[in-house]
Amino acid sequence: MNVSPCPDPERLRTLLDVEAAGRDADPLVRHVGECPACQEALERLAVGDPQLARLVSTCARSRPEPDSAFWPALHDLERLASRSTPPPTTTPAPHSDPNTTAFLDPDTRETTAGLRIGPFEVVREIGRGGMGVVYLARDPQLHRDVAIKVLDKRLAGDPVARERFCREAKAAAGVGDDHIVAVHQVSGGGDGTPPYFVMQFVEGESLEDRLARETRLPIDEIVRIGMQVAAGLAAAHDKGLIHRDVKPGNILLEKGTDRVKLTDFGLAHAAQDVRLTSTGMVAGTPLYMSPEQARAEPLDARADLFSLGIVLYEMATGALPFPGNTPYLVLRRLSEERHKPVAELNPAVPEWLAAVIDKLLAKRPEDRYQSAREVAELLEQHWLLRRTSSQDHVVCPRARVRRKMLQLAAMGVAAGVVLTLAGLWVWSLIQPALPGPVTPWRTLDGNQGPIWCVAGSPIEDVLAVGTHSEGVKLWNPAENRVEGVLPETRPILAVAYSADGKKLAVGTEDNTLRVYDLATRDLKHRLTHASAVRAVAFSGDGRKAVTGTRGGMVALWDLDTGKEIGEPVAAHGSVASVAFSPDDRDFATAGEDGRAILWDAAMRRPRFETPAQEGGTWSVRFTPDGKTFATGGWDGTVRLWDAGTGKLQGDMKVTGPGKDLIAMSFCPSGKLLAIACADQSIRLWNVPQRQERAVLRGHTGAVTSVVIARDGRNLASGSRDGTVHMWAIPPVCYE
Amino acid sequence: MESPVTRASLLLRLKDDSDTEAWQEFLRLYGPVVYHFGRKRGLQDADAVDLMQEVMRTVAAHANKLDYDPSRGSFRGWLFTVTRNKLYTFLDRRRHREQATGDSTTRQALQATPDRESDLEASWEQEYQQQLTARAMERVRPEFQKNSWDAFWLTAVDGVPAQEAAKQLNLSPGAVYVHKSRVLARLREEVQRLQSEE
Repeated sequence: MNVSPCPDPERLRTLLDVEAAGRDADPLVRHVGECPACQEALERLAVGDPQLARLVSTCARSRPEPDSAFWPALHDLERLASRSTPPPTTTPAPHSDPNTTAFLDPDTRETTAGLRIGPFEVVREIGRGGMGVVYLARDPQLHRDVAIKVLDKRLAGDPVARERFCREAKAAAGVGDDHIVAVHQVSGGGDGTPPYFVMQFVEGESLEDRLARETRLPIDEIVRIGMQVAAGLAAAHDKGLIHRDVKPGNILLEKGTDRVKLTDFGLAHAAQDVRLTSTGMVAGTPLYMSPEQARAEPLDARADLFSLGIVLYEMATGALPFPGNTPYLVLRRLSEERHKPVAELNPAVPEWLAAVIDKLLAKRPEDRYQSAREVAELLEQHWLLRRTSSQDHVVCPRARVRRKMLQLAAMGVAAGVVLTLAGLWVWSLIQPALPGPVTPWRTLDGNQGPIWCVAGSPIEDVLAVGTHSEGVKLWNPAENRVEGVLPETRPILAVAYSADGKKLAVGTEDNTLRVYDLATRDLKHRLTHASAVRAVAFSGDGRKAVTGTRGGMVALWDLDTGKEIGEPVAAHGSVASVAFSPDDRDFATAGEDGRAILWDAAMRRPRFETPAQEGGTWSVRFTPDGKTFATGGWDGTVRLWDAGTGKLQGDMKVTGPGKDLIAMSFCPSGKLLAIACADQSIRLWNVPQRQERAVLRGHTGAVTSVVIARDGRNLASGSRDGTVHMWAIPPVCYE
Repeated sequence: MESPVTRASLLLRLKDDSDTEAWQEFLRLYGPVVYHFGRKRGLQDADAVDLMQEVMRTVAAHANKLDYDPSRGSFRGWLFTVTRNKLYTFLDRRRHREQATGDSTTRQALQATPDRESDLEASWEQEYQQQLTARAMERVRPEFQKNSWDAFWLTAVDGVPAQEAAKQLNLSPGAVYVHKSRVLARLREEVQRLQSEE
């Protein structure tokens, strides 16, 4: 027998890490298959303590028998505390695969209460279309609502359609734009479960519902909706995706915001791979199809523009440009016949809009607008102009429009519109000029999982966003662009910029602190800890960093050498927050024991500690003048302490006990304190007056992190709901 | 994954009766621990379930009044004390009842040599470790492809030899070992993480 030589343990260990294994893993795997010594060695490396392997082997007998009285009793107990979660309808057998739980047939309308799709708990059905059914479901881990679309059974049987469905849904998941419903997960299904994908749940109605109620929409609405759909299409086209099914049913109008989102990507494509049955098309009438789609010719992004044209036509006139009772009639009309002019059906439609619709509805793709971005910009320019005057303007050459926008900006009306150097408009949610409830002017969503931390760069308008499984995203909110990503698959718990903005420290669930050079995006240091790094702060000179871990250890690191200074010190049980004083002489830590400790940085010795509060203390922050530090935690109260003596100077009751204060941020002057709360709000406190000045609401999950921008005028917040919101701080807060 | 920020000790979280997730997590881990602990003390299925329910109801009812001091021991040590005390009350109650009805199986259990404290504690700890592993397996399972998990399950739990498992799953024997080890490595992490929650 010819067995290759045994690899050394380090090489063997790489097999445990899917990413590290790499392409040369194959001969290694083969060797393991043949070599009992390495089989044992690999297992030992994996399991560490042999007791674990033993416990695993007895696991099958470790749960109560399926017919034990234990299970019904367990469900009763679960229901004791749980109010909103319906219990499963069947008692789960100890090791059943959740994916093989009997799956609801989408053709029937049985009650869905108690049903699970994967780990999600179905609440109810919310929609039904030719492609399948959409359910509202609950994500029990992340405490949020999601929408799950399950592919129709008739299509699910076709392996080509299934494969395409998953591939396209995965691609759509990668687009990540404000105007596209975010796709969180895609599942190919299997064992009786059809393919499904999980999307963000958007509360509101579809354009189809709205048109059923209103028939025709006001011009402003048509332009607003058209502009956002075109923007969503532009984002998708940039990623090489063609929607193929743009229609009012797939355009969602979010309740409570001005946002319009496009959904249902690539499904029409999947449908076309299924052979037409003898009864006709699987996916309903092709009222919104482009001629090239109807003729089954090769498609490009311009097909979506034709469909957009039909949607605009319908919004403007209340009628379809190519109506018909049978698919044949519709297809013939849209390929060959000219549509009735918009003005004939609705004379109130401005000429420029009718012209845009006509151009979008050109039969030949080369006669239409050539990109969705072009259409989006055009509509946006008109929309902005319409908001400031009652007449329509001829769209000016760029220079004149720019001057006009500067005028508007000076008038303070177009707050939030950003003019980039290239002269392109960057659209943003326009804040109302009048005071009203503050809403975020920019949101980063489409992230997988909660956002655990955010930090603001001291030198540029970029935020470092710590995500759950997508690494650190470097996000520019003004331009709504992720400028870079520091890759990481484990959750990022803490992120901090050095004072010169050149370094970024990232604490992760895998017990590591990574320090990056932001100019090159190179990893400079990889500092290992004994447990997850929950908190990190740089010293002012950027040469040291203090870390706090979940296991309750505080460590100081020398960033020139990458070595720890002395030994770590145990504190707090579990450390939640650390901060350096502005003069670098002290650093503060806080954690689960409800105390904050002020340490002498040079001697690494505690100077004093605050008395323990009820529940943990989750955040500790110095005021910019270094004379005071603030703590906040489980008991809902912010306390201010003298940084020299540790005496309590005052407190501010923000919320009640159990409504944790999770994070805090002072503005550069120290006058304002922003507090991220578990009750999903952000509170703004005027510190000298000890008074709450504003409450920012909008997040749908606990707010985990908050940072006030370096100009003191904006605030960024990250939340368990998976989004980062940018807010404008009402100036009145400072008075 | 839960929020590291609000991950107070499990007991602290249980004080918040709207934290249904903490409660479910607690039940799924400790429910079986108490149940099996009861079974090992000689209780029948129904009686062990009763014990479990009484312990859990006590925790639920008094969660926000309990003055558990974290500096004086682990959460599970505290729960062991509660369970053991409940068990004795339980056995006493039953003893008085059985003396009246003469039920032989329970009497046998009652008359068995009372366990030494250290044996009880060791048994509790062992049960806890076992359930922790089982819970970790449940939590970690969705992270793996069906094939990888099956490779692990067949070899590590069902004791099927790797060559045989390889044939069943249409994998190479080397791949079976690698998948098994990856799952074990992940389990080790998850067990450590669950333990650190206290």
